[in-house]
Amino acid sequence: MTSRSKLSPNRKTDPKPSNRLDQRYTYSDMDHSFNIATLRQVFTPEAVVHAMLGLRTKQGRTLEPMDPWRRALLRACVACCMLPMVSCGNDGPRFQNTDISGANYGSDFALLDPDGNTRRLADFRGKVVMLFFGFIQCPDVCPTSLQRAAAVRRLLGANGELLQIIFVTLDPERDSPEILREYSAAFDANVLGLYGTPEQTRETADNFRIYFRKVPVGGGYTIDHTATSYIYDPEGRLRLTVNYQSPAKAIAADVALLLHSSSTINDKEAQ
Amino acid sequence: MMKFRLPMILATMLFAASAAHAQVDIANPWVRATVSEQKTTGVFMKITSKADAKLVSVRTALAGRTEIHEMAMEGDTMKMRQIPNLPLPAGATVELKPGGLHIMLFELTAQAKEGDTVPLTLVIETGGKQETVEVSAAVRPLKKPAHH
Repeated sequence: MTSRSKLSPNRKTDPKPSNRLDQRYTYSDMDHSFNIATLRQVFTPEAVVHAMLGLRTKQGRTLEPMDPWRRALLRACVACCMLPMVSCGNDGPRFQNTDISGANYGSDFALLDPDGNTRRLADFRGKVVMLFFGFIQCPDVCPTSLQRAAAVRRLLGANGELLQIIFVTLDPERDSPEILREYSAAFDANVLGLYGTPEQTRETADNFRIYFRKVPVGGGYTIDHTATSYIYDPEGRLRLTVNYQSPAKAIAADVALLLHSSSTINDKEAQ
Repeated sequence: MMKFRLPMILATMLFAASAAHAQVDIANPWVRATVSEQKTTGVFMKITSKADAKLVSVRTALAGRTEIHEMAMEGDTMKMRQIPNLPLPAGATVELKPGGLHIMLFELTAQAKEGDTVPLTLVIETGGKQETVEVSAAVRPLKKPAHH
C-alpha cells in the first residue's frame, strides 16, 4: 500500500506516462502491473480452484503445483460446484463465517438448563446449534450476541425452528437459573440458557477454547471473555466459528447451508 | 458600523460566559431493559459539550451505584473497564453505545421495563466547576437491536 501511494503522485505529474510505464513497472510489485503474464501468474488454475472450492491451505502453505489430470479433475469439480451457484443465485457453497470443520475441541458439554435437567449436544441432533458464552451483567456484547442470534432465527423463517440457540453463562454465581431463564426468553423463546458449577463452567470453557477471567471493577467484578459463537451442524459436528461482529444475514445464510446440506444427505440416505 | 459592534461584543461575551458553564446537549438517552431479578444494566446516549468538560458521575433512583465503563475488544475477547471520568472535548459528540462506552447501573432498585423512562442526573465538570444535567432516558427492550 505504501509503495502504491508513493507511486500515484508520480503518475499524475509524469508528463509522458506511456513511455516510462515499462521502465517503472519492471521492478515493481505484482499489484502495480496489470499485464496478462502477471495475471496468469496470480490466477493460476490452482489458485482459482483453490479460491472457488474454498480449500484451506495448512498453516499458510501455498498449494503445490498439480499434475494435469488432477487439475482437469478439479476443474470438473469446479464446474459441478458452479452449477448450483448459477441456479441458486448468491448462495455459493462457501460459508461466510470461519469454517473449522474437523476441529478437535468443543465436541460436547454437560450443563444444566434452568429446570435442572442435564443437557448435552446430542440432545439437539437434527438442529443446527448456535452456542456462545457470556454473562448477564454484561451490558454490551452478550445482549448484542443474543439479539443477533434471535435475528438469525427470524431471517431463517420456517427453518428457524431448526436452529437451537444456546447461551452458556460464565457467571453461575450471579446468573441464577431464574435470571437465566427469564433473560434468555426475553430475546427469543428458543434461547436456552445453560449453567454449571464454577468448576464445570471453567472445564466447559476450556473444552471450547473460551478464555474468561473475572476482573474487579468498582464494587464488584466483570468478566473478560471470548465473544466468539460456535455453530454445529444437525449431526452435532462443530463446523463454524462466528466473530462477534459477523452480521445476522451472514450467519443465517451459513445456517441455511448447513440445514440444506444435511437434509440433502438425509434424503439420499432415505432413498 | 460602530453602533452594532458593542452589542455584538456584549452578546459574544455573554455567550462565552454561558459556554463556560456546562452547555451540554444530550441526545437519544436510553436504558437497556432488564428481567425481574437482574441487578445491572447499561445506559447509552450521545453527549455533546460546547466547552471542554468531563462527565464525572451519574445519579439515578433506579440504581444503588453507577460507574462509567469502557468496553473494548482485544481480538475476540471482550473487556470492560471502569473509567474515572469521561472527557467531553468541546464540540465533539461522545457516543455511549453498545460495544463501547456506557454508564453501568448496579444494585437496581426496580426492573427497567420497556416503555418506562428513567430520570438520570449527570454530573458534569467544566473548568473545575461541577454542574448537573437532568436527563430522561427511555427503556428499550432487550429483544430488538439497540440501534436502527
